[in-house]
Amino acid sequence: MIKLNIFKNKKVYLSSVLISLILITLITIFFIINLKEYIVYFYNPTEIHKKEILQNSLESNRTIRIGGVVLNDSVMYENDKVYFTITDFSKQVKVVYSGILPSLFREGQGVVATGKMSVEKCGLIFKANEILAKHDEQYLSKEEYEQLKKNYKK
Amino acid sequence: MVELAHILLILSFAFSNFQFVSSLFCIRTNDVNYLKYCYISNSVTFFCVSISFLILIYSFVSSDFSVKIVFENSHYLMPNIYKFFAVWGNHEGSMFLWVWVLNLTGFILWIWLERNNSDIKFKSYVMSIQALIYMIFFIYLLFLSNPFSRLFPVPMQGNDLNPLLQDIGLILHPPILYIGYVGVSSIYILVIASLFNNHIDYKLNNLIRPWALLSWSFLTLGIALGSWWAYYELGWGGFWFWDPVENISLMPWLILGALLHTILLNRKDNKFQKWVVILSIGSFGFSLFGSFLVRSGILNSIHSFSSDPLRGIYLMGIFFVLIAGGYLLYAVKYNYIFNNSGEKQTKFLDKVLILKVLLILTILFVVVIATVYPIFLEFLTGYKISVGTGYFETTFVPLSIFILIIMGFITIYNFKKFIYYILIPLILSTIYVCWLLDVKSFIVVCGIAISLWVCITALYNLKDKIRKKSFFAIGGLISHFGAGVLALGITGTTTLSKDYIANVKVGESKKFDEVIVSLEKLHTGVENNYNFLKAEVKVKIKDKKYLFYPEKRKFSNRGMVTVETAIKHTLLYDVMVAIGNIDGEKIMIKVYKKSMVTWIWIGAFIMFLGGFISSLYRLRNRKKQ
Repeated sequence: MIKLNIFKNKKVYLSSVLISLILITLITIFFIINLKEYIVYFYNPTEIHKKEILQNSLESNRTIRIGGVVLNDSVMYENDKVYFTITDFSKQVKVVYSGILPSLFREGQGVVATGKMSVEKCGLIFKANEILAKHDEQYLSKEEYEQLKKNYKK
Repeated sequence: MVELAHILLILSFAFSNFQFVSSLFCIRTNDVNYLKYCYISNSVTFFCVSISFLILIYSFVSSDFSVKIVFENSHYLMPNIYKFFAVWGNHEGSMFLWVWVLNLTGFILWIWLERNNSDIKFKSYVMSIQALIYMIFFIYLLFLSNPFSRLFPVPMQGNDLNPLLQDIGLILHPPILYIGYVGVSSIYILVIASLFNNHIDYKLNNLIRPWALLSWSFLTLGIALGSWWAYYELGWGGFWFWDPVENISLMPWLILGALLHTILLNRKDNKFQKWVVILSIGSFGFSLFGSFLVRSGILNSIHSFSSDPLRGIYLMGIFFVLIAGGYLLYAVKYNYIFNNSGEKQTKFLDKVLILKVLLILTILFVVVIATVYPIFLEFLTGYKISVGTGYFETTFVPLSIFILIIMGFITIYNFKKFIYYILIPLILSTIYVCWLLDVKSFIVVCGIAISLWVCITALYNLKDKIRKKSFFAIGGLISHFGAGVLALGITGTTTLSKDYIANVKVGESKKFDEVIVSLEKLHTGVENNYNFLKAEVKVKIKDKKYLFYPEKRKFSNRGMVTVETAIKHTLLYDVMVAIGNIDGEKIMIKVYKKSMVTWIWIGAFIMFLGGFISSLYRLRNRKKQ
């Protein structure tokens, strides 16, 4: 890149190393500052029900992600929108989404929803603008697994 | 049978030990006989592992549920073809596939070296480092993720494979990606062996170049296949989610790209030999780092793999030992790397190349930060975060655009030629494509122009190279052309995709600016365990008519409703139609038009072809170089 014979003496060499180090740190800092603007926090339903997290995400109106399993019998289609509930088997979050669901989306399936929390008439609801199906080798939830076991025994 | 396979696996571990020992003897005595022992044990290892792998496949196909991973991932009633490929649909099996691919490349490596290289000492170093890597992975396979764990009592039925994985994507994606990941190990082996051998000069470039091309091209194909798989399975319409697992596969890909360009820089005078060594070790580092991150489960990703902390720690250990060891060796043997002092003036094109390498490395840096930062943050503060697409849109995308622009810089000093062969075709084709796609926004026109600029300059260069009969450069140019096509596809998809929602009765139609949606028929019926509502929807885009049959299903046992989307792929766009809400007689029809998606896969495939052709060409013609 730079003609190597400019490094004729040690001083020049050292200072060039120093300058490039400083440059690299500056670039890193720049990238990390940039990154901080686009951070998306990831919560599971239990976490999102904690007071300060909920408060924070409602006030700051930031995009967050919620991950969990789609609760059985919770998927409802209504007016171009789909409503369902994400659960981590202790707490639940209601989600609304308008768009095509991934073909793998089903009840009992792990999903990650990206969007914002908001308060509506019906209470707390998560407005998602993207739903991704979780990609997992053991796709069965424990409930379903038990169900299957019973079926096989029959 | 399964016990036999297990024994064969242990045997191959023993033979790789033997290979290591005999290669050490060979290094001391410089005796060719010891090298022959190495070759024999390497072949035996490969043979044993292959047989063992075949037996594992057989136990999947014959549904032997006494094997734990068969029980967990297979089922009697699964189609045979998926029984076969379910082998690598789980952690143990996929690691076995990894090891098998490692053995395969190792086997090819020694045959190739034997035919092209006469330095016995170098070859024995290669064999010993190879044996070391074999041993490390055999230990991992045998003690931490044994594919032959048995179950007793034997279950009657298996757990079935994740339906998501029962797909052509599973058949192709892992093996191809693994060839890419594992092929990098050959580069590492060759570089470290030459470092031990106290001699690194321009020959190393020719030695590692075909392997770098091979793994780069297979990584390209593997990543593209993964993206294609995600496109139609995981989340509709997206081909890239900036998910950590996706980013991880980008890291070795990027660093290999940088390595390939650095090798190209070295073609006349060896100014950048040290870069080559650093990047080679680093590329294997990223390949290991990636598998460590994916397997350890510390990533916060939509692709969850089973995680076991012990496995993560072991892989982390491998990563540190091999990479830190490699760089330490580099530092110790620094003086044996014969760089030219670089008296000659650097040419303009070489400067462009350097800029390109630096840009690729910067992009790599961007990706690494975005992958590592969340892990550190979670470790330090407990917050789980993921990095939003905005970050990549502001860093990754502009840098790539810059790379695309300088990709087209070629040697035309003749201004007239430039006008006739580059500028006029560029303007004409841009106008044509924009007319074809109905582009109105200026930024999109710029994006298309930049992509076409890459394509056209690559084509011009290709013509030039074929006329001069210098076939070595063809592969790279084909890949550049592919990158242009890929960029075109990405530009189109991200900016021109549209969706329409029509509320219509049967027989009615609704017109949007260029699309007419009409609901022709509607019928209901009963299938096995669900009732369905099937619509016949006619979508007219410009002059072309397409018929779609989207469905809405209601399952009787649990009352669950699913929506089946109907899809048509064409060269210019993919169209998807889904039934939305039903309100009395009116039915909501959603039409999604994704422009130019097909070109992403076509472009990636062209990139793969370029790299692959070039790699094969160089593997065969090494002597003549």
